[in-house]
Amino acid sequence: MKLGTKTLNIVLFAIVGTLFFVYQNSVHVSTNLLSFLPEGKSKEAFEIYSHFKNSKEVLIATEGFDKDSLAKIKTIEEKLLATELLKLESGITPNAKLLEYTKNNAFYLKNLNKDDSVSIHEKLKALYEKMTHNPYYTTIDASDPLGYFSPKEQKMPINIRDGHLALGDFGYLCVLSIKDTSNTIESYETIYNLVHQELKSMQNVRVFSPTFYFVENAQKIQDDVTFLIVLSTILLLVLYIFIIKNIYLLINTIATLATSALLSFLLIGMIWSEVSVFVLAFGNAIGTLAIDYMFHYYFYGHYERKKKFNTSVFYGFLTTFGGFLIFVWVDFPLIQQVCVFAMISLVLSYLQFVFLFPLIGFKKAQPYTKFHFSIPLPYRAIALLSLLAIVLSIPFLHLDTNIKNLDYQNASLMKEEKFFKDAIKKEGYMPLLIEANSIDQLIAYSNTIQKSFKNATVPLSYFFDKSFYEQRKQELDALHVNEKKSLIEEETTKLGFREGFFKNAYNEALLHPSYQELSLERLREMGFDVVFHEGKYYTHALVKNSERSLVTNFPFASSIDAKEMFFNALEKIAHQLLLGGIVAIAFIFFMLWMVCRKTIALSSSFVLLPTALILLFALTGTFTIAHIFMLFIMMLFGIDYGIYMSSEDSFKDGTRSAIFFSIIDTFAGFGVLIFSDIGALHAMGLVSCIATGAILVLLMGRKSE
Amino acid sequence: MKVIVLCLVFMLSLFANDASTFKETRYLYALDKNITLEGFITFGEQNIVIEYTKPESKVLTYFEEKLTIQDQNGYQIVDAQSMPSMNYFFMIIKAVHDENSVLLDSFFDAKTEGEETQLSPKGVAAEVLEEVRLSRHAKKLKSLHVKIKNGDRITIEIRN
Repeated sequence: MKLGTKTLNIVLFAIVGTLFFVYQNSVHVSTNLLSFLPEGKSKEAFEIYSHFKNSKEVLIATEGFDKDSLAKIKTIEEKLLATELLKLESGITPNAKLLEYTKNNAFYLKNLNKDDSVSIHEKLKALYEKMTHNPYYTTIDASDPLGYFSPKEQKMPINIRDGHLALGDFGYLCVLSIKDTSNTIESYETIYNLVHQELKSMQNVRVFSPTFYFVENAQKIQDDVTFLIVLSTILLLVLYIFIIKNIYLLINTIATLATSALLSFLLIGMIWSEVSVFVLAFGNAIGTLAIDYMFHYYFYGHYERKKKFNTSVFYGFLTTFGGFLIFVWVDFPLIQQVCVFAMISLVLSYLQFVFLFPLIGFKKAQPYTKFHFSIPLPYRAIALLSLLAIVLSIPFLHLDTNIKNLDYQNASLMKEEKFFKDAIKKEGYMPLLIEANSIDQLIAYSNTIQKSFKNATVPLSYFFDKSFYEQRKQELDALHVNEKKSLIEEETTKLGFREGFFKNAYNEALLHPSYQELSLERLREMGFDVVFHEGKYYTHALVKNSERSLVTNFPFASSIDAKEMFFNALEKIAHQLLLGGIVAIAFIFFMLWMVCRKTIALSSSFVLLPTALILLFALTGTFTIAHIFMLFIMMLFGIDYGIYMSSEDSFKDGTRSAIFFSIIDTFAGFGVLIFSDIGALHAMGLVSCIATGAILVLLMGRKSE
Repeated sequence: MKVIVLCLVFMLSLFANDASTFKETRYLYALDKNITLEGFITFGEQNIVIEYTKPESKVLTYFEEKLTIQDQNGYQIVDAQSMPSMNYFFMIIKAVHDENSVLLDSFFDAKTEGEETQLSPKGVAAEVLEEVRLSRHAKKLKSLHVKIKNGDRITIEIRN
């Protein structure tokens, strides 16, 4: 055999490895699960919401209301502000621009009490008595002696203690926002390190920011995926050494799997701007499906001498590839990436194992162990009972649409988030995104939300829109205050007020200020969060969770809720998933009918039993989209074994061993995912463990005599 | 019932701490008039209790930025944060008594000569206050003069 043919596989690996080395940095691997959800209004709302400064706040609290605690929070503020990366949002100094606006528009920003049933004399007398008889020092508003106006009730969830923001009964609070508006993980990392560095030596301090999830989860997910890849690789290597016993074949096999994985990674990096880190963990496991082709060819003796084309392996490959091809059309980037990765990887591995390896040639070594054990199994009864279990369990299945159950469960950070939310009484509240074509409309909508939702916090409802301005103007005119001015002057002097003290009461500037639509810049200068995105204006609000059903009555408002967003995304692709599922099941039965007609009970049990067990297990706990996706993969995987076992050669020594080793190796590839702390990967690992366990039991069987 | 509880709390706080007699003079610019009040002031660990005896009997308890007013008609609670001038007034008294320089430094530039301290308001305090002067005797607050931007003035003289 020529040296070129012998080394072709290694050369291919070297080329792909070099390409990977050169281009790997151009592929952006992301740990953010939200980036890979289907596009839609909810996802867009989430992205817009991430531009508000309140979505990136850093909250720091020092325990206690003593001098030390106050000194500590002041030191923290000073140190962090000195870096110029953060901005203090909890300063109690009023915004000068807002103060000026408020002074000029006081009669339009306050509540109006038009009640004139009490005489002017009585009203002024009450004012005088308030000043002279209140035990505490009382000031009066010289511009409104008749008390027509009262400040709007401000729902300030945060208290002030000793001139500083306070977090419930815990201690002093400092709220900072990130100046950098780029929303990049690097920017979040800088802030995370800075804050933790400053707080390192301090005791009794608690800190939280929603941006910390991005930093901590990214690191933990990367560590988790690396751990899974390393664990799986070690397990597989040990297994391959044990099974294959031919070092030359082992090196070539690893080179083939690595070539397929690296090339698949580079290719999906060319298709998508961001590649999910989950694809890497999943992609590593996909290799265990591909190596089955090698096992069969190796144990059949295809690599020792020329043999006829192995149709069982081809059909096995075709069903798995076909399954992924069906789901690639589902409009869900994460599923698409996994499917495309799997398809490319499977094709490349299949081509090499089936066409290149026989050319290289490998001597078959006797494995350390042979798979002889078999017990009689009633495959027909198993298939029928499994089918019954599937039919009966489906109506009771409940799909868990909480996306957080798919992500990394960062318990310590979730605890801190709950602590702050409870203390600021934000727990039980849901953010809303309000959308409008103009700022005036945005203010009008904000006021609508404020009035319609009890206990809502809508910052922009502080302002008034054009129609409110016109209406208030009419109401003020109807009060005829100009006609009352001389009487006020006369009565107040009589009562003992300083002469001329109320000369500026109800002046023209306050009664009829000119209406100017607020600009985006001016609102931001006054400290309000408004975002302009693709011709629309956005702001935010907080409403009670119990009132979420009312949100649908307001088409301009959408809830910022990860669970709801995921649910909407799933709803959008539900018909595609359903169609994909039906096509996949039809495809499975078509393949069973075409290839295993004579052994239909035996072969179908490899699909039905794992499915039934997974569905029965799902009745006891959560059942997410990750479970469903893996269930379909395991169905496709099961049919491979159904096809292998349908072959008359299946009970021959080599074939049985190949089948047995391939299921053990799948367990090592996918099963390790069960050790993951990431919900989605754990679910996949769990499903694969159940499925491979069931298939293993079926493989130990033989038809009952 | 609540009134009785409040009375008991007040009596206990008087016994538990040293109550000082004081005289408060308020000059109200709007009326161009002085109002004089007298009574006892008591500093607790967390609160300040002021019992006015003249011209009328009333008890004020300042606790966690809330002011409870108790008289023969019952009691009412006022959120001090809604009245910045009054809030500063209590905050200054409490900070001076607790020797909380961090708190005072947040709102004032202090200049001390002997037992006299002049506090120049800064930042948000400067929006409301014009000048604050206080004198201490043996570290204890002796007198406090607050000049408010609207022309009002408050003077408190603590006797023992």
